[in-house]
Amino acid sequence: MSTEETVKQILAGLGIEVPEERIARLAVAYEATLAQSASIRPDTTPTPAPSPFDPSWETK
Amino acid sequence: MPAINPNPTAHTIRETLALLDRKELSTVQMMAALLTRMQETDEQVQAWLDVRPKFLMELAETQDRRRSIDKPTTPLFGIPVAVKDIIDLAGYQTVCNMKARESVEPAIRDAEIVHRLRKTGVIYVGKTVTQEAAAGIYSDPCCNPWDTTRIPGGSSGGSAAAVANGTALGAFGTDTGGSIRIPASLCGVTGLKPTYGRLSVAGIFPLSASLDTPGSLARAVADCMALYLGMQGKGNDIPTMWNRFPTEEGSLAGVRIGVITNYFSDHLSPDVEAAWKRAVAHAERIGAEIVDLTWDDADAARIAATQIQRAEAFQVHRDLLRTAPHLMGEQLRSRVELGAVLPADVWFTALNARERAKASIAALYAEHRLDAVLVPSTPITAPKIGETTITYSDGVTEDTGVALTRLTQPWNATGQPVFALPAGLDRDGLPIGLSLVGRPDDEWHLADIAHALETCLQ
Repeated sequence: MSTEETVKQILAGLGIEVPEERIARLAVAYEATLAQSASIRPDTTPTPAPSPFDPSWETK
Repeated sequence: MPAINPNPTAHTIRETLALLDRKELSTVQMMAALLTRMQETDEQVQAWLDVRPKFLMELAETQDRRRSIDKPTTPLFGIPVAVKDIIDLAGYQTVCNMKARESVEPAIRDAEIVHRLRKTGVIYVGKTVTQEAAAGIYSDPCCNPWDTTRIPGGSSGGSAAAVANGTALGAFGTDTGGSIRIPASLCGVTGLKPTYGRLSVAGIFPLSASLDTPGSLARAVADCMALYLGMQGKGNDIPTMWNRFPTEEGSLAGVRIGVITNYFSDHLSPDVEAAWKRAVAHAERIGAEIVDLTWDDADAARIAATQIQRAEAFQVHRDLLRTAPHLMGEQLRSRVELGAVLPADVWFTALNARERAKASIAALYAEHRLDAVLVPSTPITAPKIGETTITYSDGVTEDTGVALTRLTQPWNATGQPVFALPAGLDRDGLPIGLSLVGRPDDEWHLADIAHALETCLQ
């Protein structure tokens, strides 16, 4: 399935009508977002990080 | 250049309170001067939406009568303050620059922070222009008072322009991706984005619930802190607070300031880079210890904040997108459509990246025993209206919206408090802004450092 078809299918599932002429640009933004998301995904399964509001801030 | 230079006679809140106290200025005189300036300049600047001059003059007269009988018991008695038009002000519409809300009923009560600050005796002058739904950096149709062919930044653009132009002494803003710090930087005023969660968002139209942060804009660090105290409901502490901020040049002895040499130094205008270096040198001269460091998660923090914002903005605007998308501006509509199609995996990846960024910046502050970090607020000064792309001296181009949020968004991801400080002018006479970033919930210490710096940055 192409990205444009994927985007259309998601929108249809949400009951949102988006004119055909907007789909191509939305598909490009969608792909760019997935690529950016992949760039911040860790190689390993993330484990809960300590909150910065916890004692790690108190070591000064 | 069609400039409206910021009112050279404009005072800070602290100075104005002293003038009022010594009866060298009355509230009526101040309000009349403010309304005159608004009448003379706001047709061009367009910072204001709903101002009621007759009501304001009556209010000022009432305050002067009360002042003639007894010394005011409220700490910001008579100080004129602007309210960004995504924040409820009783009796006024909250339109949020959205066509869909043009006929919305006036708010029946103040937003919580407006209600709390009202108890300090401030006068709410009216509502100020914001970007549609607070989602962007232009604040159309507001212009930059330093040069009306340029944008004021957003989304609290009207609030920053009003303070810069001398038509308010302080203002409410909100910051989800830089919306206090960007307009503060482009308009040459001071802004405080407190730690995420420190101020109530009740009565504020949301953009992204896990990032939205209300704060203050004014002409000085101490003024921002006075407004911040009032917004917290701690107005009684304001009179003694002023003593914390001496008027003579401060010292930063014993203070360690981090300078992040990666990411925040990429693609800066030469004048912004020079102002940053000057500020670091000033900080060192007055006693600060400067620590150069790198933060590898800065870009991931920016991406995480962007993607979280897209997903959460869809949550806010889903029904409008379904039922009346034609009432949405192109920029807002595109953002919300993208938020609609993002898979949950993107959302969870962004949440995880945000937690990693929080942990890594906390570790850096701990490792280097930092009190604050000093970086530019924006890589450029105010762009021209309609300038959609920025070209840097090395030939690299960047979307204007991305450029203006690139250096602010990482601090929304981490939720840290930030002071946006004016740091002089560029070669075109436009304000440059720097950001001083503190530890979570450490606003007072950050304000001490910011105050010491502001006296030598101007």
